[in-house]
Amino acid sequence: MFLLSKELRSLRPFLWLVLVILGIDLIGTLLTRFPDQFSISDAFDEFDASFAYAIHLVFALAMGQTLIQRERSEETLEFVDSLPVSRSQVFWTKWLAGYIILALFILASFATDLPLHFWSRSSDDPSIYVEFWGPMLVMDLVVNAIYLSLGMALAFWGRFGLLAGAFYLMGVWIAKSAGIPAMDRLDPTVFGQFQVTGSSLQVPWRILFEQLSVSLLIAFIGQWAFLRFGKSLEKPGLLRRAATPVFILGCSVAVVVWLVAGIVSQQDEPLPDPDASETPIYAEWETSRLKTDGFVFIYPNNLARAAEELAAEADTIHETVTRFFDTEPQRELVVDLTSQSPRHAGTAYWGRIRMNLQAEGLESRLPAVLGHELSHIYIDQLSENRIAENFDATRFFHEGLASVLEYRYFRPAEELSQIRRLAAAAADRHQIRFEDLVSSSALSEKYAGEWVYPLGEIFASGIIETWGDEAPARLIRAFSRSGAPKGLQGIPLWQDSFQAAGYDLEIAIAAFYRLLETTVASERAWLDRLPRLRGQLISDGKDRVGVRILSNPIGKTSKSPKTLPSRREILVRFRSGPHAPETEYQTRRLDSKHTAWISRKNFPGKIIQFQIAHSPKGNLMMPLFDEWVSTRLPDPP
Amino acid sequence: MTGALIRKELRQHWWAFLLIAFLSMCGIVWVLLLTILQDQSGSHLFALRLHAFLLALSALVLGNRLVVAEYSASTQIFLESLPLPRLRIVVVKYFLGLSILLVCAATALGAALLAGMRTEVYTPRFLGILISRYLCYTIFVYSFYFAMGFLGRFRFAAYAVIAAGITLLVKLRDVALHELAPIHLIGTTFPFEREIYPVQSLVITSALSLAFFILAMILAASREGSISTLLGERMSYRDKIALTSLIFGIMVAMVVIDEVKVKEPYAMTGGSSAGETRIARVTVAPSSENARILAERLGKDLDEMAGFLDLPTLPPVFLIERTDLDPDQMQYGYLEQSEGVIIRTAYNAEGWSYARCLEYVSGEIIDVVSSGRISKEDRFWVLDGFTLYWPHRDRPDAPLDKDHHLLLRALYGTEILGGIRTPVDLQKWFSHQMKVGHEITAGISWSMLRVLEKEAGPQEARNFMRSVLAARTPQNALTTLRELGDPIESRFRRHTGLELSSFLDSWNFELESLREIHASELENIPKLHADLNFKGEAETTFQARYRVNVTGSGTSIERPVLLYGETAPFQVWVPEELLKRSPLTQSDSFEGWLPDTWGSGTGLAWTFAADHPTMRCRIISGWIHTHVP
Repeated sequence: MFLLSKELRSLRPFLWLVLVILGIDLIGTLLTRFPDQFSISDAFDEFDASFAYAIHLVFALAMGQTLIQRERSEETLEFVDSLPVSRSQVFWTKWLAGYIILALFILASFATDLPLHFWSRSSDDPSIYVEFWGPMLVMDLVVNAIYLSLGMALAFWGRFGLLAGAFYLMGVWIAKSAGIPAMDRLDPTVFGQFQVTGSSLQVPWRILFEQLSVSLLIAFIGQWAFLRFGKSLEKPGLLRRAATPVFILGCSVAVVVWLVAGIVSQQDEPLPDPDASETPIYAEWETSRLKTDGFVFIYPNNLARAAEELAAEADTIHETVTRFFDTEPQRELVVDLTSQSPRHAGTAYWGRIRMNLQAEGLESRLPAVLGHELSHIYIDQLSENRIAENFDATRFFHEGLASVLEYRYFRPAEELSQIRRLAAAAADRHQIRFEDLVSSSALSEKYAGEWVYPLGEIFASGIIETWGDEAPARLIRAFSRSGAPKGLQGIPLWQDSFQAAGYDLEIAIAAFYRLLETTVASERAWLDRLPRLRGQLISDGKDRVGVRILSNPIGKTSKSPKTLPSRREILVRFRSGPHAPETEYQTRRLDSKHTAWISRKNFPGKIIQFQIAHSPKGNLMMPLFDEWVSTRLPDPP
Repeated sequence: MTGALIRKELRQHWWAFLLIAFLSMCGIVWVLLLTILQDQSGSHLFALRLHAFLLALSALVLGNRLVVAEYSASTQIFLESLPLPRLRIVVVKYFLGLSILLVCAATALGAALLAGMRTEVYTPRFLGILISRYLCYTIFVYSFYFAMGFLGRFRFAAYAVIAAGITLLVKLRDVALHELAPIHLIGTTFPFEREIYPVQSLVITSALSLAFFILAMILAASREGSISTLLGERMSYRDKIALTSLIFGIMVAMVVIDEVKVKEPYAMTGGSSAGETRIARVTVAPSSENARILAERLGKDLDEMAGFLDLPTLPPVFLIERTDLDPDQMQYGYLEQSEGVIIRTAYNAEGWSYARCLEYVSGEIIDVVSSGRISKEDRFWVLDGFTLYWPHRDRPDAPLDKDHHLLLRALYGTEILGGIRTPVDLQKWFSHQMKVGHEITAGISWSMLRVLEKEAGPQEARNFMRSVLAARTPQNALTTLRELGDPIESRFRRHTGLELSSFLDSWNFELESLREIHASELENIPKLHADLNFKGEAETTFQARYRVNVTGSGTSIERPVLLYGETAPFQVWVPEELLKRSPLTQSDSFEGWLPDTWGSGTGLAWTFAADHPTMRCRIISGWIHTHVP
């Protein structure tokens, strides 16, 4: 008890820090909000969980450093040794003291937010949402133990321990961005990615307790190190001197080996096309160059013919695009035709284009792809990259305007329906809000990020219909005007740019919906023939879950046909939560029982989301995506 | 002697140099991994941007080992005792570290250029731009960390202050971070810009590098090195806590400081504005004669409303025609509160009602003026009633029956709710709205305001409405505190001279007498009932089956529809524009399945609704908020 109070006393500055931070937060709320109109919903909207957990981790690491390193820097170890307690007791007392202070930080946050919620409740929603904050409190207290254990173990290596920790987190981040969702198990910041179903917090209990076990193990290693702490100083040999660099190098090498092993062993479940029989042509490694007036093409040697055909048309395409934007052509554009990306027929980056010469379907019309990508280049150039910098809010316009040029100038008129039908189906089946369109991430969370193409095409066409062909270029230039405010995002950014160009966003939105309505009306017959599909989540009793596709509906409704389309026409996409990046989506085909299977390991949390993608007969630019269905992962057998 | 100094540094910091080599190797491996695995980022040279981050980390380690370690262990005193100028020791350290970092940068650059040979077109100019950008950046990061090393224990505070300064610059002066000189050099255009040298960024970065080099020399040489010796002492426990507090304080300040966005206030382009108004500013778009007439009419009404409520200013109102909406649909557009109110509606459509539009506009204006305070439940009934009271205002002594459809709403609503008899019932306004819908509750509270006008007098009723709807309510806790001492009931008493409970008795009495008169008509208004059941077909996905029922057969309903939608966390309502609609016809037998698949735990709000022509509003079976099992 004496030890504990001594440690708590020594952590008083941390306690003050906790109180100051909470005080600032509370004062901020009281100065800017009505405290009796500040429910848990408002607190949740303002709560940046990832940031909060990152701070929590930093705080725990700093506390670990203080608790352990202080004994060394103030040379008080000898005094500690003279006390009638073991070093193990000292170590765990320090742990407990740190835990109490950090737990106060958590409890005090609850103590400020929950009373405001109780005060703000209304008769239509008297809930106290214990299903949210109850599990959150438990999770936070366990996370507290994890973070503190890590902090105290890493503290023995001082700043190098922190460096090793930073390396570890960086490795996890790289592995996750390389498309290995199972890395969540090893990520201590994963708890900041809240999964809320209804109003219940879905705590990844399994990950939580796995990490708790590991961190406690690490804490025991820390205890062992503490037992030896200060003793090895008496005989600082080569081993002692080399310990730190060896530790760091060891950690770093382990991270790299583990990452490479993870990437290599990541056996992506195959996505074979059951009816595909053609042998693919692989591009040669050797490349050649071909120059035209405005371009340098780089292409694999065995695909020379396709490249030459494209190059022959390239300068005309370039002229068409620059004429539309009323600008001078760039001097030399590099077109890299070596891409084999299955996801994109082409991509554009500030004066450089990458294209896949072997793209299939609609995207095999290479001049159209080149025209589309060139449009991106000039949108970026005219806006001085400002549009691309606000990618989330402007993606729909970027892709939409490029699609307008692509379909107007570089494809036959009858192909327009292949993009317009997508917009029609989206509008017919869902409530499309401009607020969703103007946020690419919101669109991805609810529907499909790919909708920026068809819906953006309608929006850009609406602008052109309302204000003429010169309007897009004028609008784009408004983004880069001198004195344009730089921090705007979302709708205010668009309001400002439209206003500066002499147009009005609301009129553009009205034109968008008008055109969307016209498109739906003109495609009504086609829309009515489309089947409505739905999916049931099932389990194979082992380690896989599947989505069984059924034709909608049970019983009778609507004119939609009840027979299931061919399984070749349907894909199912999976993700682990609404915030998962598009690169982490997993796509599966259907088996003979119209079921798409996926391994449970892709869903380390408790949430699974799936989306049905239907490619009806006849070329469409992309499949028709249904809304995402979010549900709990069925319990394992 | 210089050679001896270099050998000393190499022997002392071999592992740090090894670590840097390892970091650099990681960068190069990363370049190759990207080349082979990803094939996505447009250019293999793009991977150098990650390497730039590793270079910064390496520069940090180098600065730490070459400067901080020397001064914190006070071993520089030994070096200073050697027959060497003090500056030479520092210059050797600087150039040794710089050489190591430049070798790392050049190796990574070379590897990336080699890896990219297959898919890049290298011209002398392109290579010149790439090399100058990367090496200039490398020299900057090294000079920065080298100079910071001389600040000793205060370097962390310096990092925090510099980070805060940059953040403030970005937020307050509206400067884009990625356009700032050193960062711009390795920005998104780094691997792609082939033609234009970023001269300004190169000059600024070089100047900064030189400045940091000079700073390092000054710190090392001033007062015979005593300043750097003092700064190099280890941090005390108090220093550490103070530093932690500073960093946390800065982080909190970064979050708290609102981003200042200098944006022109919204002004609707291409619309017709109301000309002769006192304070109302109304624009209706697109421009036309109809739009002008509507703007004038709305402007006049809002001016009168401002006079009635004694509002000194009104936010601008922008009305935009949306032909895709139904005539009875109104949508709010997004606008910062101070910028005004945008309403989207089909104002040229047949069946569009000006009164309905005014209901929406007036409600939204009062909400904006009160900073959202009027949405507090204990007073919401006043706003609800006012949105009907104002468009249908007449002589105070006009009978309630004059607005027959509104009276029917009040009678119908109170019948379903089982009466509103005490002030406590008024504080449950939102649950009344859930049961009967907001158009019916608006009818109920409209009748209250009309009866109040008669009972207390027009001026007294007006004063009460003013005290609730036009009170100055800045959005902070002081407003809440002030209102704790002046609740709605006491305002009612003060302005009308009536007790709220006794007024409710009078109002109920008046309604009951009118109910008898309109009993047969009320009987003919149908009542809607519905239930929704979830059927789990497999594991955790469900289908929903609805069954609806209409009782009362006299008056037919129009446009029966099932309204439903997924609720956001901690919400029991779904915004109107997000509601899904499943139109029903008689042939559906009002029973069937919803087309959606629902995941376990999902929140769902739903109701069965239909238009009632006599009351000119929507009636509902009652909003139900439930969770899928």
